[in-house]
Amino acid sequence: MSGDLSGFSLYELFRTEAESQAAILNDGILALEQSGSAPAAIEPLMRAAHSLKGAARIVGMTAAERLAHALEEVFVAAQKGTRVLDSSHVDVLLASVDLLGEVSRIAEGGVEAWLSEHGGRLETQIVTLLAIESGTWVAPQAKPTTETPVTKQTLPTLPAEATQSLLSPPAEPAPSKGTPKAEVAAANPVEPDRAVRVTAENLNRLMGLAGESLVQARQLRPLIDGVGQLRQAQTQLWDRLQKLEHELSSLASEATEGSRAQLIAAKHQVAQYLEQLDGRMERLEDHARRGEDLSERLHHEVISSRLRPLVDGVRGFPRLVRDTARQLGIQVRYDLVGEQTGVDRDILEKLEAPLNHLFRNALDHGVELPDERRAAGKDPQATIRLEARHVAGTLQVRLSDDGRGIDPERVRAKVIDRALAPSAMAAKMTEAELFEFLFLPGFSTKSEVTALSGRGVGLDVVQSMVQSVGGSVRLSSQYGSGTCFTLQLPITMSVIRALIVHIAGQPYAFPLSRLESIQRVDASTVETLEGRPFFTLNGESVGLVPATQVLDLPQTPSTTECLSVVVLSDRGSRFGVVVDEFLGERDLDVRPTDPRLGKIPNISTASVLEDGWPVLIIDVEDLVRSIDNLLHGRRFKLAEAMAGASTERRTKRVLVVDDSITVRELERQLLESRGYAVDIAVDGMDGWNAVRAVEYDLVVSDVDMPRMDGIELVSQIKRDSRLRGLPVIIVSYKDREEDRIRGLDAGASSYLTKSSFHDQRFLDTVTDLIGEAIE
Amino acid sequence: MTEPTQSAVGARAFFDRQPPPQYLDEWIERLAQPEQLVEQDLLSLVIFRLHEEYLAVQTACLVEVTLPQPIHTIPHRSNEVVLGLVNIRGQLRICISAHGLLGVAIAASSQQTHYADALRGAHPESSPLRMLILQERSEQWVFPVEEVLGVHALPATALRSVPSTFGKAGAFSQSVFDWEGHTVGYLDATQLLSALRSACK
Repeated sequence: MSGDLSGFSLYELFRTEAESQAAILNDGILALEQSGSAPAAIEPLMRAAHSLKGAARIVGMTAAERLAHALEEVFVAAQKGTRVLDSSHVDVLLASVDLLGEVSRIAEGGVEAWLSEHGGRLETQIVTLLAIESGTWVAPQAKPTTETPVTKQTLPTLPAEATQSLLSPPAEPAPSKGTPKAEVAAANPVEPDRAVRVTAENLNRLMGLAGESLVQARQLRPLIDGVGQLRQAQTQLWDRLQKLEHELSSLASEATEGSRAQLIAAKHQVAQYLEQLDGRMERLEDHARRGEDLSERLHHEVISSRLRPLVDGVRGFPRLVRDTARQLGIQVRYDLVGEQTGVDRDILEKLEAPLNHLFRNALDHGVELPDERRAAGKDPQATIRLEARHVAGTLQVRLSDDGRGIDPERVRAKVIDRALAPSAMAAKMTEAELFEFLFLPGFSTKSEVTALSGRGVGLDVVQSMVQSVGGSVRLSSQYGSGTCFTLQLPITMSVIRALIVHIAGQPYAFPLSRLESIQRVDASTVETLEGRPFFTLNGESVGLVPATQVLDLPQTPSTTECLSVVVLSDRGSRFGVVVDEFLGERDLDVRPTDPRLGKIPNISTASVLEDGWPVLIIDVEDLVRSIDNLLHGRRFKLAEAMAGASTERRTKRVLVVDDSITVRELERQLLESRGYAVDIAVDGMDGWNAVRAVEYDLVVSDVDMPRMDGIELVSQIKRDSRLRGLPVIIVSYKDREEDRIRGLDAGASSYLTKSSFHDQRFLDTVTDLIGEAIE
Repeated sequence: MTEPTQSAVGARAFFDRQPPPQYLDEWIERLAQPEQLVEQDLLSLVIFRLHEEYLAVQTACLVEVTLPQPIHTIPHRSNEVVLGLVNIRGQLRICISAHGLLGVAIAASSQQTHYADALRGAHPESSPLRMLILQERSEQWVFPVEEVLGVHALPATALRSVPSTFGKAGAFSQSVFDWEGHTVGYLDATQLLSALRSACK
């Protein structure tokens, strides 16, 4: 019986092996180029090629077998020193590995069809490899330059005998040329760590159970403590008997002799029980300790099984960088920082495509030619760095280059030129706001834009891919010295360090990385200004808000003179959130909240504490916004005013949702000039919270925003039975027909581009939809 | 062939023994009787109590019954139907007040205190309070109930139509039946659980 492999066909096993061997070959060949053809570097390559050949033979994949064989021949020759491999050889070797990968991915039974289509390519590759091996291969003439990137397949000259040998598949593993040593080494290949496929749901359940078993194991502790108390009571009983015996012996007489004997017997008995109790307690404690230890290990193991090191998902990039750099004639060093950063396997899979895009972008447009770099006083070899780390319960992936960067002024000119925004508005835009335009579809596909910034091609694709997994992408650039893309991605199942607090008697967690500090504030030092409490921290006034108020929970009566305050800060504003008490720091394995609940305001995710209590993890960004609204009374105060005035003629109220302060202000001014009352929200999530809190007549929303985009906001509104009637105007830079359709499909009443601010179109649309401000 | 062992001989004697007197007659008589119950007509129900009301759902949608677990209020989401989140074997599930949903007279807040009290007690097992976990399609819901009275088989013929006086729970009851002196409402689980989905939003 093949045990747990029985569920897989031989063919599937071959495919898995081919995948891992191809990865070894790929990495090894790249290393070879760096280190020169050191025999030690070649040996693992020979082994990999050989194992692959054997595996291919077992499943009858002659095509793969022959290709692997040819590869092995080249490695053998290189190891013997008869062939020295240079970059042009490496090109061929890498292409062969790619082809091998392609062959191994052919569906079972589809080989014939594949061969009839791609057989020629395969033959050419094998011929080339054998030519390299026999030393008759001549590298293609065209030296790669920037003007003519080498994209065509280059055909080598064919030696006659090589062609001959192609007609029949190689017989047994070419004993004449292969060194016996290599054969022996290949007989014991190093087994790579075998991977087993498990569904995510399975893993989630396993994780839940492992967590629960830890909870259960830890609950033995109080049980043991209970037994300890019992033991103490027994000891007291023994003491009491001892005392009684003393008293009896002091008034010793014939009459008490019998009772005394009985008392002594009782004392002995108690002592005996005590001893037994001790023994059992010790065993119980031992058992509890082992149980806890086991559960902890299990828990840890399960959690880490969901995470894979980043390096697993980015194996292809060194190759991409090398090949592209060679094609373009640039020199690039690739740096990977945080290769062991744990990344959720689902996220890792989705990360590859957008990163690939960004890598190509950086190489294609970011990095200058060596001469250009030298002239600018830079190292002719550019650096592209991929960094990954966990920040605030999210995965941050950063791709930076030290290339030419982006000139914000030329982007600004382009924005004005294409009438994407009025020039007065564009003139006031910050760099960050300008760079947002680069994510617009088609913004910079034109050649002059590529020349000016070299950015933007397909960035909208990257953005939508990242957003589809609930992440966001930011771009920053220093003109002349480089560009950096930061991808913020969720970690659906990861571990965060958090501060556990009680709010309204129930546990909540603040991610530690989002905390500024925690303070105990003496109630007598709290002052009030305009009815709002604050305290002084390092000479600065920090406003205080009870957590119960922000979270809309029942007020907890405070019993102590000392307030427990969590200090948070975001974009310059600082708040103190008053909680019931601090419970300490904990590692939490983050679980997504139930999708049936939708996005819960102020809460990001949830977890389970050691005592089995569910704990909700605070979305600090969201919380800060809510507090800001609460403190500045903007929305809430207005809501009260509205409630009072509703019977009279009331002013129509519009909510403006946009993450750009410039656009927000412009829209607010335009609307207020017509007499509408305007509230603002800084992104879709903020807007979604606002429309549920206050009754609006109209929502004006941007499309691309962090946390929740405009399309999602419209869909949410249209899905809600009470809000369905609320009209929404989308105002976006995106002016393509498909973007318009996407917005209208989601339920927007109207789709305008930002150029509509130029003329009356924006205001006309508003009045068409909801009438004048006061009727 | 080897000699049969002592036990083999014993076993042979045991199986070869004569049936007790009247054994055959008894069976003949029993098999001559017409069959009384056809299996398809039996419903398998789990009966539980909410406050004063007795209710039942099909056993098919029952996942498990657990001891009371702490319920974590969800800010901005908890209401008289949605109580909060509970930890069921490491999975966080939505906890629903069947009382609130069905209008069985007990305030959600007092229900939570009720549970909190039961949890604080030394022996939650000794209280009849339980949590009922029901599943529809792939979604699970947790309901605190005052008591679970077990799984019972009921002939379909015992079901009666719902009297108009049968409280608000009548809205979800497809029929009622008598069980140990109580009138039990038979809840339409699909309808109940789909009503829940909209309550969560």
